[in-house]
Amino acid sequence: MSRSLSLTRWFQQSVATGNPAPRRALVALTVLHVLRDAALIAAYWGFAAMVSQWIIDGVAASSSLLWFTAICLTGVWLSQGCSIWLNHHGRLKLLFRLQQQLLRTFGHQQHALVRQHSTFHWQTLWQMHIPAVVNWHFDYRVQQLVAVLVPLFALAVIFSVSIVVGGSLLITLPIVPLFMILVGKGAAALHRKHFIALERLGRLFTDRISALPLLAMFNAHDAQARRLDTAGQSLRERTMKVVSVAFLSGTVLDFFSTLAVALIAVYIGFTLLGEFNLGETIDLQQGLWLLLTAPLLLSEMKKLGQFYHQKAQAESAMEAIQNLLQDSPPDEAPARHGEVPATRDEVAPITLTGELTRSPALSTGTLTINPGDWVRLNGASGAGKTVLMELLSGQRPGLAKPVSDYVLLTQTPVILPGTVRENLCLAMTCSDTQLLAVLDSVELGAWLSMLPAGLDTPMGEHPPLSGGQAQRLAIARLLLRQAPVWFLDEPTAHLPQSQHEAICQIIHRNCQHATVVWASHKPLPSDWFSAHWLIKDGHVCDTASAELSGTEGKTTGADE
Amino acid sequence: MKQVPVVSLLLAIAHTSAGLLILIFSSWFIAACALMPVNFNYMLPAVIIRALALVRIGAGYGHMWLAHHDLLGRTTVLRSELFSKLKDHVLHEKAGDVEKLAAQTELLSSVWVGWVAHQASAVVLVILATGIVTQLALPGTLAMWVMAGLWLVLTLWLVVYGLNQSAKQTVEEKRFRFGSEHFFNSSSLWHLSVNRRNPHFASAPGLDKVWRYQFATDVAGQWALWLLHGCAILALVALFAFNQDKGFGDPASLIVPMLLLSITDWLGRSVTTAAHLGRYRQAKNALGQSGAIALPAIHDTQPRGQIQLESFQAVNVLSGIEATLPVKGLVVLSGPSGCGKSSLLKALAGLVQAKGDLRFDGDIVPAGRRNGWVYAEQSPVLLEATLRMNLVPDESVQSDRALNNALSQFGLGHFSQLDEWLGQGGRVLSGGEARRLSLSRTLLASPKVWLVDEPFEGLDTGNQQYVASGLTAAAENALVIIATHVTPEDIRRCADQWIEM
Repeated sequence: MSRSLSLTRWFQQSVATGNPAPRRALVALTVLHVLRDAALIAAYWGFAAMVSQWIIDGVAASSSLLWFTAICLTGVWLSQGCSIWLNHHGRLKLLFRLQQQLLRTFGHQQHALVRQHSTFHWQTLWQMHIPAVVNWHFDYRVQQLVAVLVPLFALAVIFSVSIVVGGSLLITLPIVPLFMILVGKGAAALHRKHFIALERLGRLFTDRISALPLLAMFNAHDAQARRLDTAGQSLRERTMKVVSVAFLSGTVLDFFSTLAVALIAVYIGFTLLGEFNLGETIDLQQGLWLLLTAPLLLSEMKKLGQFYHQKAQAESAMEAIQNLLQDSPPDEAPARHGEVPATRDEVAPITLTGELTRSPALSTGTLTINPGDWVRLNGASGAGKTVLMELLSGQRPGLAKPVSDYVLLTQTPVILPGTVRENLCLAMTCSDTQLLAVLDSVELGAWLSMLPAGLDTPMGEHPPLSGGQAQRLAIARLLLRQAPVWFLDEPTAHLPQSQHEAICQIIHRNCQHATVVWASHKPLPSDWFSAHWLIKDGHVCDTASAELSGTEGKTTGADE
Repeated sequence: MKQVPVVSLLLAIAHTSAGLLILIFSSWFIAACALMPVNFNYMLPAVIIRALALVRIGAGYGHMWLAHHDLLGRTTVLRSELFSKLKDHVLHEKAGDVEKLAAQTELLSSVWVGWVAHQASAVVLVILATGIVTQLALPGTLAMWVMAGLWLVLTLWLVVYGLNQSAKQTVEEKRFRFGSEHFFNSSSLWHLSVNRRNPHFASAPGLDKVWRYQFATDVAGQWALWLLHGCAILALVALFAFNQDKGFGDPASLIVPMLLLSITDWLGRSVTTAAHLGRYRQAKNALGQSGAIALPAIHDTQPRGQIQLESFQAVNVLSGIEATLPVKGLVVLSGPSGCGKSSLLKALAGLVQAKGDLRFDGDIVPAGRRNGWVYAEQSPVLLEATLRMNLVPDESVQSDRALNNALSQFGLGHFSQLDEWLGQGGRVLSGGEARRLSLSRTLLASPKVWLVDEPFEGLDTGNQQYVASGLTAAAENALVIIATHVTPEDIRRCADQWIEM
C-alpha cells in the first residue's frame, strides 16, 4: 500500500506538476463510471418490473416503466460513451505532454544526461515507461476508486430490499480481499523461492542471441540450443508452480461472484416458493433485481484484477523516469523554431566560487575565465573534468548564468548518415565557399576531392573516414558556428600520437581568438594556455596561482 | 507447436458459457418459482444452478492453468526454432532488437489465450443463444438474430481494421527506432541547434503516430462494443414496447430480454480484443524476417607453410593489404584506429565477407570460416552462465585441470570455482578480467590461428603484462595475429613480424 501511495505522490509531484488536467480526468472518469453503474442499477429495477408484468401479471410492459428503463439505459450508454471518449483523449493528451516534457529535459541537459545511459535505455523509457505511467493513471487508478465506491453503493441499495441477501453479501465481501491477499502472499513467496532460477532462465534466450558470433566461432550453437530447450522446459515448470498459486486469486473472485449468483437465485426461488421463511417477502421483481445487481459488487473488483499488471509496470517506470519529466523552469526568452538570434550574447567573464555540484562533489575557491582565456583542465580520469564542462555549459544544472553560446567537442565524433553538407550544416544554411573553407582549414580538402559526389556524398552507416578524419570533420562543423567559447573534452583520446599533434595544431590555429576550456590526458604545449586548472579529490584549483602563492602547490601538483 | 490447444479452448468455452447459462437459468428459475406451477420440481433446477457454478469455477481455473502451460511451451518451441534458424548467422543488431525478438515470441505464443479463446467462446455463445431462442420460438427471436448478425459484421470489420492499423503502427515504430537511434547517438551535437533560448528540437523523433495507431486499435473495439450495446438497448426497448401478447405467463420469455441486457458481459471480451489479431500477425512477420545475415561457409583447407594475402580485406574496406604470414609465431598488426585492422581480422576469421586473394602455400583458397581460426574480439561477450560454460561454450569434455591451466595462463588462476555464475546476480568481471577470460576460452579451443583484436586497449600495465605473456606463450605453437595500436614492451620484443597498416 505504501508503494502505491508513493507512486501516486510521485505522479503528482514529478509528472503532473502544475497540470490539473490528469487529476480532473481521473475525477471525471470515476464520476462517470459510478453514474453509469447507478443508472444501471436503476435500469435493472425497471427491467425487473417489466419482466414481472409480462410473466406474473400477463400484461404488456406499462409505458411509464418502459420510459423509465429506456431513459436509465440510455444514461448508461451515454456515460459509457463519454468515458471512452474522455479516456482516449485524456490519455493521448497526457502522452503528448509527457513526450514534450521529456524532450524539454533532453533540450536542457543534452549530452550530459544522454551519455549516462544506452540508447536502448532511452528508447525503452520513451516507448514503454511513459505509456505505462499514462495507462496506470487512466485505467488502474480509475478502477481502484470505482472498485471501492460501486460495491458500497450497490450494497446499500441491496440492503434496502433484502436484509438477508445484503447481510450475507456484507459478510462475504471482506473475505474476498482477504483471500486475495493470502493468495498473493503465497504466490510472492513461491516467486521469491524460484527467483534466481526464473531470472536466469528468463534471460537465457536474449543472452544467447546476443552472443551469436561467439557461438559460431566456438562451434557452440548446437550445445547452447540444447541448453535453451532444457532451460525452456525448466522455466515452464517453475513458472507454472508460481502461477498455479497466483491464478487462485482470480479463482477466488470467480468463486464468490458465481456462488453469490447461484445462492441468491436458490434463496430467492425458495423464498418465493415458501420453502424458506427468514421473515422476508420477496416478489419476482425484487428477486430478479437482486440477482442482476449482486454481481456488480465483485465485477468491478474483477476488472481491477485485469489492470493489476499496470501498477507493477508503472512502478518500474517510476524507477526509470524519476524526475526527468518534471517541468523545468520556464525558458528565458522563448524563440521560435529554427530562429537564429540576431545578436550574440556578450561573452562575460565567468566566475566559479564555492560548492559547484553535489554528486559528484566538486568545489573550488574562486576561479575566473575571462573572454579569450585558454584554460587547460588536468585531472585523472573520473576526477570530474567532463562534469565541470557540463556545468559551465549549463547542461548540468548548477550555475546561475552558464555559458550560452558555446561549442563542445567530445572524444567520439558523431558522423550522421546524411551527406557531408548535412553533417556540417545541421540546421544552419551555409554557402559552398564557407564549407570548402572550413574543410580546408581542418586539412580535409584533399579527402573531399576524393569523394564521388563532393559535398553531397552521403556518409551512410559506415562513413569512409578514419578516426582522425572524423574528428577533423567534427571540428569543421564547430568552426562554422563561430562560437566565442569552445569546450574540448579529450578530443584526441582515441587517436594515435601523430593524429593528436596534427589535430591540436588545427584547433590552436583556428581558435586563437575564442575562449577555450581544454581537457586532455595527452601532452599539449603549455604556452598555449593562459591558465592550468587541476581537479583533484573534488576540488578545482588553478595550479599556476597555487604555485605562486606557494601554499597549496605541494598538495596539488600537476599530474602530468 | 502447431497443434491446437483443444482442451484449454474447450475449458475457456465452458467457462464463459457456464457464466451466461447460470445467469439465464437462475432468472428463469426465480420466475418459475414465482409462478409456482403445479408439479414444479424445484430441486433439480437448484442442483443444476449449483452444478453450473462449480463448472464455471473449475473450468476458469483449468483454462488459465492449461493456457499458460501451453503459452510457455509455445514460447520455448518458437524460441528454439528461431535459435536453430540463426545458426551460423549474425544479427545486424540495433539497440534492443534482441529484446524485441524475445517479446515477439511471447506475444505470438499468447494468441491462443489472448485472442482465439475469446473469439471461440463468443462464436459458441452466439450460436447457443440464437439456437435456443429460435428453437423455443421465444418473443424477440428476430432481435437476437439481428444482434448476432451485427456482432459478426463488427468482429470481421475489427479484424480487418486491426490488421491495417497494426501494420501502420509497425512501420511507424521502425521509423521511430531508426530516428531515435541517430537522435540519441548525436546528443553531443544537440547544443548546436538547441540552447537555453530555444530549447525545442526542430526535428526530434516522436511516438505520436505510433500511439495514435495503437490506441486506434484499442478504442475501435470499445466503440464497436458501445455500438453493439446501443443496439441491444434499442432492441430491448422495442421488444418491451411492441410485444403486446406473446409469451406472457411463461418464465422462458425472459431469456431474450436477459440476453440483450447483459450483452456487454458475454460479448465484451470478444469485441474488445478482436482487433488485436493484427498485433499477433505483426509479431509473426517480425519473427519471420529477423534480418539475420549468414556467415561465410566453413572450409577445410589449412595452411602448412605460409599464408599469403593479396589485396585481401573485408569487402566494406576500400583498400586491401599485401602480406606473407608464417603458420607459427607472433604477428603484430599496427596502425591508427579506423584503418581496417579489425575488419582484416574478421575477414580472416570468416566473420565477414572478404575480397582479394588468400593463398595457402601458393594455392588460392576461398576465404571463409576455418576450424581452429578463432577471432577474439575487443570487448568480449560473456555468457550469462557458469565460468565453466564460458570457458567451454560448446560443452566439450575438458578436465578441470585443463580449465584451470587455461585460466592461469592469462593470470586468472584465482578463479578456482568453475561452477560460479558469471553475470547478473553472480560474479561481475572487470573489463580486464573479461578480456583475459575470453583469451583463456580461446586457448581452450586450441586454435591454429589466433586473431586477437586490440587486446591491450583500456587495460592497466599489470593486465597488459598478463595478456602479453599469455599471447607470446601461445605463439610458440600457433600463429597469433594481434591487431593493436598499443604495444607493450614484451610484444615489441617477441614479435616475429610487424605489419604497419
